[in-house]
Amino acid sequence: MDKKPLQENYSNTPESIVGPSVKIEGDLKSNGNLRIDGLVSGKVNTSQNLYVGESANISADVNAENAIINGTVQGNIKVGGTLVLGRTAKVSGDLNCGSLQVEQGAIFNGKCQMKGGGTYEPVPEKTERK
Amino acid sequence: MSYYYILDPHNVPPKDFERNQIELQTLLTESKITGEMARVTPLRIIPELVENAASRGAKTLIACGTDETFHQVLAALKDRDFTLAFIPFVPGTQLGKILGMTDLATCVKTLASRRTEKMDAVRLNNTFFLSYLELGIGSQTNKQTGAFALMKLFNAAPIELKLRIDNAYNVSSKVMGGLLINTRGTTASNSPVGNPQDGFLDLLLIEELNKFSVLRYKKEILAGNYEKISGSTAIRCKKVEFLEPANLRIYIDGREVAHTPSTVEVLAGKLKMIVGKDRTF
Repeated sequence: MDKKPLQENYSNTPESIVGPSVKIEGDLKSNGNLRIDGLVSGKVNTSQNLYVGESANISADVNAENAIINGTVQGNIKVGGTLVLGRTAKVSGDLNCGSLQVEQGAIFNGKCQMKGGGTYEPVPEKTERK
Repeated sequence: MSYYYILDPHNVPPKDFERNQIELQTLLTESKITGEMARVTPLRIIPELVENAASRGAKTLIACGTDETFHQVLAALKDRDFTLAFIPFVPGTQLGKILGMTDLATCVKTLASRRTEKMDAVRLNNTFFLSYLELGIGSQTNKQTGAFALMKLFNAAPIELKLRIDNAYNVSSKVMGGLLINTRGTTASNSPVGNPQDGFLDLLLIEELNKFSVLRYKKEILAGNYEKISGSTAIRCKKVEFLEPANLRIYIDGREVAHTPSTVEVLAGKLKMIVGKDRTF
């Protein structure tokens, strides 16, 4: 996966930015790219890309199209596309995503389910004709 | 197409007002867009003139004067369906810059060509405005202090701000200042902030900065481009309730208009505005 363009895309053009000194209580909803560097106690929901900075601390479930996590998330993360857990990420919760990248150093405690994982069908063994 | 011009001498030097009025009449006659002209007096205040314009069947209402004139016209509109325009009678108005209506000749040319755009309006308690409001260290309030701007920035006391956004979540932060923008006179390249046609407001907050950061970002702070300052917050929203601290002053275009607690919300596509080609959005 090409990670660099994704990182640049997230951090350069966010529609909303939650600064490091900001504390949010309640459900944060956005229709554009979202960058969080502060504290959020409530659900985070965006139909676009989410970037969670190193100083961020989110205590609730997270929903996004794509996400890069470098901070702390205590809750389930559901991502339609690509989820990246950076080397400073600390995630306690279940992951549900299309594709996943975990960098060395990331801490993850929970279950992980990939999109389409339920449709896995084992290849049938060939039976020899007598 | 009937035009109704409201001429407001308030805060315009008398000499300039008379000169502008004569020049405007000449230009309007040349462009064949004359209409009724009404001068604001202590006995004929702006709400009465707006009422008068409606009763005479005017379709286009032109506020001539200062930013304050336009805001008063906005407040007096209620739900009447006018096409609006603004002609500044003093140099350097925020609205003139935003709307691309700067000098008289440009304004009349723009009026004649009738380039109309739908724009969002903003309601702050019972006041209406088009541009932005500011708290704490604001661009306008600092520009007025001139040479003392830097000293004021250094000595700015942080504000423990608490807001409620879109009836959904609370934001609390220690900030130096904040802007709530519908549109503004400064445009940052590639910045989505301050589009008065998107149905959203942009809340910008700058956190407490040390003296080095104040020096580094002085230009951005004074220009109100808070989104370019590292660690700032930008939230796109439709409604903001300023909850705490109590009695914090709120300014529009450098003029104190309200105190906290106050509620601000965007009225999407509320206005039909005649705008110039040099507008900032």
